[in-house]
Amino acid sequence: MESCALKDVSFEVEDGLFVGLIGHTGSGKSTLIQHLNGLMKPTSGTVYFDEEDIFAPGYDLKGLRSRVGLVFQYPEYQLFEQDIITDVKFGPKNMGLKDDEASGRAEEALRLVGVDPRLYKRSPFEISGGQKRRVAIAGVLAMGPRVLILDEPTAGLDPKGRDEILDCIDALHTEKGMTVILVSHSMDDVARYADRLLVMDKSRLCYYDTPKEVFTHYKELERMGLSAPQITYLAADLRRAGIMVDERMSTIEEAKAEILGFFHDKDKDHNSI
Amino acid sequence: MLRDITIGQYYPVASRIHALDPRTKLAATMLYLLSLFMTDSVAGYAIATIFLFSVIRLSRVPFRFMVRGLKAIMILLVLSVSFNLFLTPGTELFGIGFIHITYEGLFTALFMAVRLVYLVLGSSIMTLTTTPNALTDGLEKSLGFMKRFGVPVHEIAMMMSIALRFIPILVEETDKIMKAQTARGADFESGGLIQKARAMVPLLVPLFISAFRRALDLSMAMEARCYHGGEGRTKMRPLRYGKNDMHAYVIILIYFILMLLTNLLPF
Amino acid sequence: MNIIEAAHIFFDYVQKDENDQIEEINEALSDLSISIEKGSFVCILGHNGSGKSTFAKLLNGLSLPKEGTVLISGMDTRDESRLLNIRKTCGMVFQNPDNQIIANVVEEDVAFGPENLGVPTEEIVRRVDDALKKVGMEAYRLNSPNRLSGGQKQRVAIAGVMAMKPECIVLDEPTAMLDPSGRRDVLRTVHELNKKEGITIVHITHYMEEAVDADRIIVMDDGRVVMDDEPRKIFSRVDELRNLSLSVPQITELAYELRQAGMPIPLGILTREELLQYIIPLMKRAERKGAGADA
Repeated sequence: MESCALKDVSFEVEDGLFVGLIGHTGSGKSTLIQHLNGLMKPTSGTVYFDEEDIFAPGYDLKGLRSRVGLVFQYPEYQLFEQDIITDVKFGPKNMGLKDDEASGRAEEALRLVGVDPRLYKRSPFEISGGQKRRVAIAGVLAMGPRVLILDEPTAGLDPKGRDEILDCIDALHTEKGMTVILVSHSMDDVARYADRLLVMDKSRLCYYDTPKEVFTHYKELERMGLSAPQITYLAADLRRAGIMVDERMSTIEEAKAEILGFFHDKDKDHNSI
Repeated sequence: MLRDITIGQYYPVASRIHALDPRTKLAATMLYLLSLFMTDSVAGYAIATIFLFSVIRLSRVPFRFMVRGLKAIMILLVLSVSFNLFLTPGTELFGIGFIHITYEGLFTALFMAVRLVYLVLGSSIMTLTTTPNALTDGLEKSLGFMKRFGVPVHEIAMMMSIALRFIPILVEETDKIMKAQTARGADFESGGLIQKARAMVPLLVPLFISAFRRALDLSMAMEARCYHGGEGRTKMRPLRYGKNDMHAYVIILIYFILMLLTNLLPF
Repeated sequence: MNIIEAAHIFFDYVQKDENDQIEEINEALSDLSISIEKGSFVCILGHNGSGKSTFAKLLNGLSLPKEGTVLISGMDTRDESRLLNIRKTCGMVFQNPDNQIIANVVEEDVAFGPENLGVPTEEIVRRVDDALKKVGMEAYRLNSPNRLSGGQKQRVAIAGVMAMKPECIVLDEPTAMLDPSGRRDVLRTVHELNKKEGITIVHITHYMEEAVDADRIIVMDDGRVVMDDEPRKIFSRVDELRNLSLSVPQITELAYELRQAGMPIPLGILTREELLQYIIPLMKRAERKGAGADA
């Protein structure tokens, strides 16, 4: 019955990177991220944070969890307090912070995810789904992590809720310099936001490269039950028709620039893709 | 920990035991459990052992799968064994300080342990070989006469069946919420009793809310699929006794009588 | 003939406080009229809170409108004597795959509907066989639903409805909690049921890509219908869709952007093939011209 959920996975994430983690359901993504903040312990091998072995005896795992924040799937299902602000304070309080300091952290976190201060005293069960999710993310942010790991933070949301969450994560990355690991099923989303992609298949790490590089292997991705963004396929189709666009274009903006470039020679010479 | 409870987990293989009518299995399990309480002779346990292991063989459920159910009663087992072991008066075998182990104590402790293990194994055979729905069907039909006294038998059976369906889901959910709160610095392990109880709030509140939400969803889904109580319901697999059931009844009766007879034996 | 006829529907959510006093009234649907033709595949789009799920629940009498009438195959959902008939005519599949499977074995779950309807035993067995085959889940007949993937669970739920021999299936965001392959399977299944079995499908979603192959798209906002047309026409109105916080499929959006930049591409491009058909000749011509200028 026991099976191996991860096999010989090795990779390094530099400070400040936005990493997308993709893979078919059951490929080991969720297991992998739970190792990164010490919730799960590997049978063999280890995880280093700031060059320190997090599974070494005496390592402060609780401290690690405040620096490597992990947001689970459907995080709104973990809300439990009477009001939003108290719920967000749960993390900082567990870190041993004083009440006013915890409040400060909570307010800051709620501001970062764009929750209206007028809602702070409302019950977390009375607000909309998208808002609940942002409150739950704030609950992790309030601990002040340097690394933020999110497991499909947009699952089940409508396009508006989806964009709000992704923009908020992107802002944390670009403005706060936070390292982000985003588990996602949407190739379009990771193409748009990620600097690097980790691709998992059958418990193994298959690719770790820039999204553009990874997407050029779209045939292999399909074999893993994944796909590339529509734009990547468009590029391949165009090239097959003899039109040599950049095969590595993957977002709408890039495709637009590339295609329009054909009609303006100047742009064609220094396309930035 | 919670995952180890095999009661309520169906093990899907085709076997003669699986094919029996749930009413047969219910009756047989009752008689078997009763027989364990009626005997304390070596011969009785020998017969019970032969019977139990033959049935396990016939059920084609791997033994290690059955044993998993025992983990859940480990504490109970250790407790009752040590009570019997240390507190039974009689001929002393050996003693250190205030701890005395007697011949009688050792004997009762051993019987107690075997009895407990056999009880659990016996009842898990029933749940492992009978789909929870068949089980509740069996209960509903066997207890059908109680409807006349105003007992809502159908409703109780339906509730049991649904509870069984949602146990694994809620177990998984508990695990997930626990991990999520741990990621937020929650501590479920250290501290005294009161602290531990307080630490459960961030786990229990979301769990209850989720259970209520699921219950609401499910009741709506049931209504949408034309559920309107037990009245006028038909069954895809109505319970019918077959030839094998008659054989099974004969075998269990013979077993039961044998067990009764062991009480007449001197050992 | 219209299988669904909803006329001038009003529906409120009333929030009460502890003392049963009305605290807040939210109007979820206001003067909504939608009729749906038998045998068609209709997508209802809208963001969360647009009223689409509220509307879905009116379609098989799970809730009743405050004002207006809902007729299913001519039966009024207020008529309690027809309720079972309405629910069997217009089956429902919900969002959360876990919370709509009742039984502990796949086949027993599929049988749940027919059992409630008092269908004779042999007929139930036949229907369950048939329904499981139609959704491609016959191999999982004796499995526990807990061991299935989200997409498989949803297909079991669809089989459960099919076993009641419905004329119409309403699916309320059935793909929202699924991964891409689960979404594809569920969509393929409902399209097949529509084509092969002639089942009317009302598919409620906020994924625009899922609406491309529908016969008709209804866009809801704020409890009203704001657009109602065939997909191509709907997808021509990119700016309006964006304003309604709906996203447009990537290819449609790219085509729209290129058109805005002056390329002669028609509105409402739905697929990659269509887009290629327009841009390849244009780009080839531009390339030749470019090459000519260089020489």
